[in-house]
Amino acid sequence: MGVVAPTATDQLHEGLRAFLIAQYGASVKLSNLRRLSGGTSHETWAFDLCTSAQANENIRPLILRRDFSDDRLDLDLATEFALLQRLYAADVPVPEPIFCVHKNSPITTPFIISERLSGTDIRKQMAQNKAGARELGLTLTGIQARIHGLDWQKILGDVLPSPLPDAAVSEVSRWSRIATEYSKEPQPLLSAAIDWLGAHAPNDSPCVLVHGDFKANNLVFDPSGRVAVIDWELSHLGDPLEDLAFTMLWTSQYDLVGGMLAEEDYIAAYERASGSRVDRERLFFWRLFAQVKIAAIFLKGLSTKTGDDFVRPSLIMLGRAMPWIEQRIAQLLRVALNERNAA
Amino acid sequence: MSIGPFETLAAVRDFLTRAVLPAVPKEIAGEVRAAVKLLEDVADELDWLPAVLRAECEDMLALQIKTQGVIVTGIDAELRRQIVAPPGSIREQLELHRTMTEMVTSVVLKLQAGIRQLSAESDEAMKLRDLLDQYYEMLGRHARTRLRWQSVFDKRSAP
Repeated sequence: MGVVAPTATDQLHEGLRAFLIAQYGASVKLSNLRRLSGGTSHETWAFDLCTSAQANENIRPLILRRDFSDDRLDLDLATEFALLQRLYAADVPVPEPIFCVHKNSPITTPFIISERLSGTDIRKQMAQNKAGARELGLTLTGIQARIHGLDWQKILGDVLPSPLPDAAVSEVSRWSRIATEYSKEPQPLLSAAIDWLGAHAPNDSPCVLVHGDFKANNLVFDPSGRVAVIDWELSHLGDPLEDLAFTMLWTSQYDLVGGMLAEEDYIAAYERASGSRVDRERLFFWRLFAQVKIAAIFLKGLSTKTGDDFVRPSLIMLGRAMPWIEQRIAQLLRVALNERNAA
Repeated sequence: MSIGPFETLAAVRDFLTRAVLPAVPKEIAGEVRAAVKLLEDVADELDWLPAVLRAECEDMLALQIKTQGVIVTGIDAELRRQIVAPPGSIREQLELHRTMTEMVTSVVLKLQAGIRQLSAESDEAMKLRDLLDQYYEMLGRHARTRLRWQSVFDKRSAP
C-alpha cells in the first residue's frame, strides 16, 4: 500500500474523475472536492457527483476516505467497506457504501466512497444549538444499544475477525503494545495503567459488535432528523462496555456524555435501551483501558508521516495532549487503589 | 539582543497567520492553524519548563527517598547532586528529568506488583499502598501542570 501527498488535490481530482467516468460514463461531473478533517491514518474528502449531462440534476453528495499511512491501527478499508455493506443492508443507520478500491487504485492508495449526509455532525450541531440535547442523547444511546444488540453472527458472518476467548486480554495486549512501541519518553502512569489492566482483565465479557469510537463527531444528523453512525474503522467484536467507556472519554459540553447526558444518566439510559445492567467493575476496567487506547492512538500519530515525509501539526497537537490522559489515569488508579484495594 | 525568543516565536506565528494561511489550499489551512497553535503552546512551555522540570525532579527525588528501604535500594549520589545543583541547559534538565522518570516508572511497577502479592489487609500492603498513592498523586499533579501546554482538551483539570 502506498502513501499519498496531502496537497495533491488536482491529482486526486483527476484520478477520481477517471474512476467515476469508468463507472458512470463520460457525462459524469465531479465538483467541490475538498478535504475534511482527518484521522490519524486516513484522509476524508467530500465531493459532489453529477451523473447526468444536465447540470444540477442528480447531484449526489459523497465522501471519499483514503489512507495516507500504510501502518493502520484499525480495519483495512476492504473490511470496513464489507462491514458497512452488511450493516446498511440490515437497516443499521450508516451511510450507504458505494465503492471500494483496494488494489490498483487510480488515486495511488486504497479508498472507499460512501454517501455523504447533508447535515453536520452532532458535535457541531450541539455547538450551534443545544435545544433538545437530552432527547438527542437518549436517541444516540438507543442507537448504540441497538448496535450492541445486533445478531452479529447472522448479519456480519465472517466479515470481522472471530472474537478470541480472552477478548479483553487480547485488546489490552494489542493497544498496550502500540502505546509502548510509540512512547518516546518514559511514561510512568501509562506503564502503570497497562500493568493494572494486564492483572485485572475480565474473562466473562459478552461479545457484541463494538463501534469503537462512538462519539458525537462520528454521528451525523441530517435536516430530516436521520442520524447515521460513521467512522467504523475501530469496530470489532468485543465487550459492549468497552464501547461505553470510549464514549465516556469525551465529556465536553458538546459531547454525548457531559453535554447531552450526565454520566449516570447515560449509563441509566443505556441500561434501559439495552435491557441489561452495566457492571460497574467491568466498566471501570474499560474506562482505564480507554485511556491507554487513546494514548496509543495519539502517540502513534506522532510517528505517522504523510507522503511528504513529515508529521502533520494536527497529529503533533494530539500527541501533546498526553498530560490530559495521564492525569485521568492517575485519578482512576487512585480510585482503584483506595476504593477497590486493587493495585 | 535584537529580538527575544518569545517575540521571535510571536513574529513567526503572525507571519503564518497573516501571510501563509490565506495563501494555502483549504486542505492545508487546518494544518497551518495547528502549527500556529503549537508555536503558542510551546512558547508558554519554554517559559515555564525550567522551573517545572526542577520542581518535578525534586518531587521525584523526595518520594524516592521516602521509598528507600522499601523498594528503592539506594539513590545515586551523583543524581542527587545534579538535582540540587544550579540548573544547566533545558536539554540537560530534560535528560535528568528523563532519568528520574525512568526510575519512578520502575518503582511504581514494583509497588503495584508487590501489593498484588500481599494480603490486602496486611500492614506491609497498606504501607505499599500508601506509598503508591503518593506516586500516583505526584504524577497526576505533574500532568495537570502540563495541561496548559496542550490545546486538544480543556486546559484545566479533567473532572
